[in-house]
Amino acid sequence: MRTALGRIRLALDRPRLWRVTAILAGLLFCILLVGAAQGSVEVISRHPVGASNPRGPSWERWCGAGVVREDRLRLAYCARVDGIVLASTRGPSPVEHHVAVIGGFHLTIVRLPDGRPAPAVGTRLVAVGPLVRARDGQREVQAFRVLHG
Amino acid sequence: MRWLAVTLALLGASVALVAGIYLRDRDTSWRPPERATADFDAQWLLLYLAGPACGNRCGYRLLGHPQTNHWLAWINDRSRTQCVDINVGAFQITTAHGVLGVTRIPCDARAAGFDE
Repeated sequence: MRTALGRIRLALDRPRLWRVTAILAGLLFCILLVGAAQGSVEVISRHPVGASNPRGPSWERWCGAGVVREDRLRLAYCARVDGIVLASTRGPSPVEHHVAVIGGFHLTIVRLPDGRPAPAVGTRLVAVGPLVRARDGQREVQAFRVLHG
Repeated sequence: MRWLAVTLALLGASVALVAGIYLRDRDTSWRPPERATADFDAQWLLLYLAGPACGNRCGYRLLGHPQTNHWLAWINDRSRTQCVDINVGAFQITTAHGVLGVTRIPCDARAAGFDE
């Protein structure tokens, strides 16, 4: 038993190798941390009272610029997501694109306006629209307006 | 061995960060049961086909569940009866393309062993 443990100990005794892997793991962690921290997600939970809200953010005017889908649970009146595109999917309709965006330590699905092509992976996307619950359980912004990307 | 511990700790922190972000905003109940989703979709389909003022003359019933994500439903829109296969993963109603994720099937499919 002691010999087997000793053999494992000997096999793992590679200080130079582990130093390199530690540096690589540190780099990976830093990249993930910086990638997740950039961008932001801002949410307006309820429709502001009155026609216009002078104290509201400038992007709020796009919140009512479309028809909210009723076949999804609505989580908030409006949201602005700013982040990096991680992945994109097309369908089920031919003009529909969804992208996964990471920013502000949030992963958000953005349904792009019909007919708008999906931005490339790694590009920055800023979109505004109502916040709903996607079928897979993730939060989804039904983008009425894409401000960047 | 100290560097091995540092490597494992950093990899663990990376995994925890990714998992935390992924799970952070997810619905805690994950997904509703497939039957509930299919029922919801069938209701919406009936509403789309028959309109909101149909009342007692309209109805729907789930007939069976032949495969994952697919549910067979019987829809009665006044005097018109039809059977459909609803793909709950793709179902949606759009203004531009109408209903998506729904395929019409013959109503005898129920008799073909799809009954639950």
